[in-house]
Amino acid sequence: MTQTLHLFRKDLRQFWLETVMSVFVVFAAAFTDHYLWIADPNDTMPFAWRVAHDPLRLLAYGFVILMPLSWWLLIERIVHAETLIGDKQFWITRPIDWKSLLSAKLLFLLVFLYLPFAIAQCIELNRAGFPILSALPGLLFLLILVTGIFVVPLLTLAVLTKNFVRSLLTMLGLILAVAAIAYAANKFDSNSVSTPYSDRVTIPVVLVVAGFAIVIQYARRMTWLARALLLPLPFVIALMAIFMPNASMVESAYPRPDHLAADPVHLTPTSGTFIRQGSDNDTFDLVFPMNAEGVAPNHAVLIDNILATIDDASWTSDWQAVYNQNVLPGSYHSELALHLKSKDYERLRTSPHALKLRFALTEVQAGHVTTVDHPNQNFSISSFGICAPSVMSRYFDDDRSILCRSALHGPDLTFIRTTGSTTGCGAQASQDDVPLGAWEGSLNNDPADFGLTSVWNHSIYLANQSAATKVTRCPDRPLQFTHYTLVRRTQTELAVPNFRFPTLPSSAITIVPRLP
Amino acid sequence: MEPAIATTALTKSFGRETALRDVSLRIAAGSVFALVGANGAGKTTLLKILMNILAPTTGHATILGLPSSELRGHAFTNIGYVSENQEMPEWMTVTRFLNFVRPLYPQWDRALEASLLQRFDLPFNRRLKRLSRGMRMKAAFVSTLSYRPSLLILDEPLSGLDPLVRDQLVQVLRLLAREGMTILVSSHDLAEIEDFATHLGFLEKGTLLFAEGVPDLKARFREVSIPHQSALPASIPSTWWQPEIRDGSLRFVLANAAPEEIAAIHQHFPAPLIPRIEPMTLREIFIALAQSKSPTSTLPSSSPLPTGGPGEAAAHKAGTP
Repeated sequence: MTQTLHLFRKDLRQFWLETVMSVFVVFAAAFTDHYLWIADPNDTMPFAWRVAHDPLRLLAYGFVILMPLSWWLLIERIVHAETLIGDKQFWITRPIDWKSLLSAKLLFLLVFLYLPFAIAQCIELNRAGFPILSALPGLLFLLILVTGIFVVPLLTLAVLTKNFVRSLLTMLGLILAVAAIAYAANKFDSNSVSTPYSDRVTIPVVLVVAGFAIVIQYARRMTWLARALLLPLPFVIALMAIFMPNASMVESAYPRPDHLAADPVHLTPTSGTFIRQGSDNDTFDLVFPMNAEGVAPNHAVLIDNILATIDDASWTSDWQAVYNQNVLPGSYHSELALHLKSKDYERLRTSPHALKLRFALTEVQAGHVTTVDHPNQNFSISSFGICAPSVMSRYFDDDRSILCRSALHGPDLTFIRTTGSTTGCGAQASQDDVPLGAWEGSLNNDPADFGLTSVWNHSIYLANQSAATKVTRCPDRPLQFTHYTLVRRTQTELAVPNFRFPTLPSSAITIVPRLP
Repeated sequence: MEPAIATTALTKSFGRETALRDVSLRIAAGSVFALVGANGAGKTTLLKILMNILAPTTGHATILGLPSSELRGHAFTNIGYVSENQEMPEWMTVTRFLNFVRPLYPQWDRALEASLLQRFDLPFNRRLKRLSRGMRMKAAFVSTLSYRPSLLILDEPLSGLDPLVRDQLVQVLRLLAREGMTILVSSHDLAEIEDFATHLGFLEKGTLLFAEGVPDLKARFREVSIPHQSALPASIPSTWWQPEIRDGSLRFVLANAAPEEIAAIHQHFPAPLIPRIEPMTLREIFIALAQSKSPTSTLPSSSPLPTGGPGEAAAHKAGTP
């Protein structure tokens, strides 16, 4: 312990400037974070204009970006002070115990990285109006995420490189490798699925393998072994992401119902199925207009994923995520899109088929309801956050937005409803009133989501599905927040016999000129 | 008595290059072992293996009874290592540097530190990176000698230093050697270390050509000159090295100056011929040994040693103070 403290004091004397800079950036980010709590009215303006007109907001962004960079510099400097690579280092022939050396570095990070960050997050949460005590478990979880995502990878990079330039080059190489893998993965399979499983593997794997490499380096300076251990790691993680068994995960998370269980929602296809160009030239989106009804009172159903089968599995699509299709009791019109490759479309469109659609559904139940009678100023909603009406009306017609902030993660799944009007809001309800609503949050119950600030901001746009004319939110009408909890996840099926693929409208056909 | 350093068939390869080949060596405790060889002979590689900075490809070494591969941390409280190309914490001032290393050694001798500082006249408040090479070596020596290590390993500690600094360091080393410290010092220049070495080893192209005690060497070797000779004898004993006729005399190096060998020479060349049998300097012995054992039979061209035969070495002796 004496040697650990001795080395710690040496590092502090040597790197006081880097330390002061890092701590300053962390606290500056905490004290300027409130500039990010309000929506950016200049979002679409050129950067130079924004610098001139809203420098504090950009400064706040700047500090958040600088934070990991200052950590990287700090970690590099303290590790490279006793570099583990090479054969000319002064310290390796001195009675410096590797455990003391590693402990000194970790103690340094604890005191000058974790502690300032944790204190800064407490300050930030306090300034945002959240109680610190109840946020402590989430804060600890956030520190674990920061360790797995930033500190351990940066520490590993530092122990495996001789100096900052080598480290920088390695980092650039890694970024290029990850970009190439991501590009290849996107080419390989562009469909994603929505499952309740969060990644519980990557961070523990990174912590164990990188931690092992760090210990090997400090204990034995066996760089080749540490590198051999770590080199495959980014590729394994990328391959895990590419070859994630999406279908199995959906099937496991959304079990097929037994015959006695009623479907939580009845989906009926309506006429007007159409096809449009997909996100790239090779894909199309087949859009199914649906009528969704039969949701039990006080319940809602989230349509999470879709899968299509043609002619009893002669062709089957992947499971694909469906976004923003949450169904409340009543009758709803939905449009569910299925991506398919152009070659499949060309093959299948010629004749009628027996189409079977399967949907992965989440049924949720309404819980506590909070009504805010006069939502003109800041108001706090339990398990949701602190909200305020939008002030972004300078450039956009956005008076239907509310701005909310939550502590350490996004809010719990909540439906927000209020009243708008097409003709102007009166003091009393009138026949011109139209309902406005929005879903916000998720069923994820992790104590924290990864982020460098612990206050999460959301701009919530209250929409009306049917109103074609301009609707204004009535600012004096109550806002109602309904909290939803999970009931079950299940699947439902829909058969469409004699299905004919629609013809692609001529405007959707891309004509590529042939060069002579 | 257990040797301070023992190596067995130590070999180190870097890819296809073999830097060290089957080096077996024993250095007795309390001796001052001078490891000599040209630049690139493998001296630094050998010392780095001994210090566990590099791992041997094959073979093994023990340092103060401990396998060199286990040499780390606390083991260095009793071992000192100073190298010409070692990276120092250059941001530290001399005072801060000594303040940093002092607590690492329980047996640190403040009086010796003060005495060395006084002798070396180091600027306390100047950063190491602003010191001259000689001053930096002095600082390294103070930080290493002040804890009185049992074993001191020095890699070319004196090369490139001005004569004054060199003399100061040699004086200190001589003092510590007298106190019983084991010293292994490498150099590409025998002149730097011949004054205080008790043992000598010669490394060439990774191979240890010989390693012997200096008194033994000095007692064993004689330069013999027999006047009035015009041709080499028909049969030459194996202990007569590099025989030649020069200036009307037969000259050779007698590799075993035992009384019976001396008597044999007198018998071979009876009166009135009077053989001149003279002791040799370490430098002359070294050259004779190197030339007789080297696979290439010549010293590397980069060696600052005279490259001629014993006769030339004698001339060198005559002309050099």
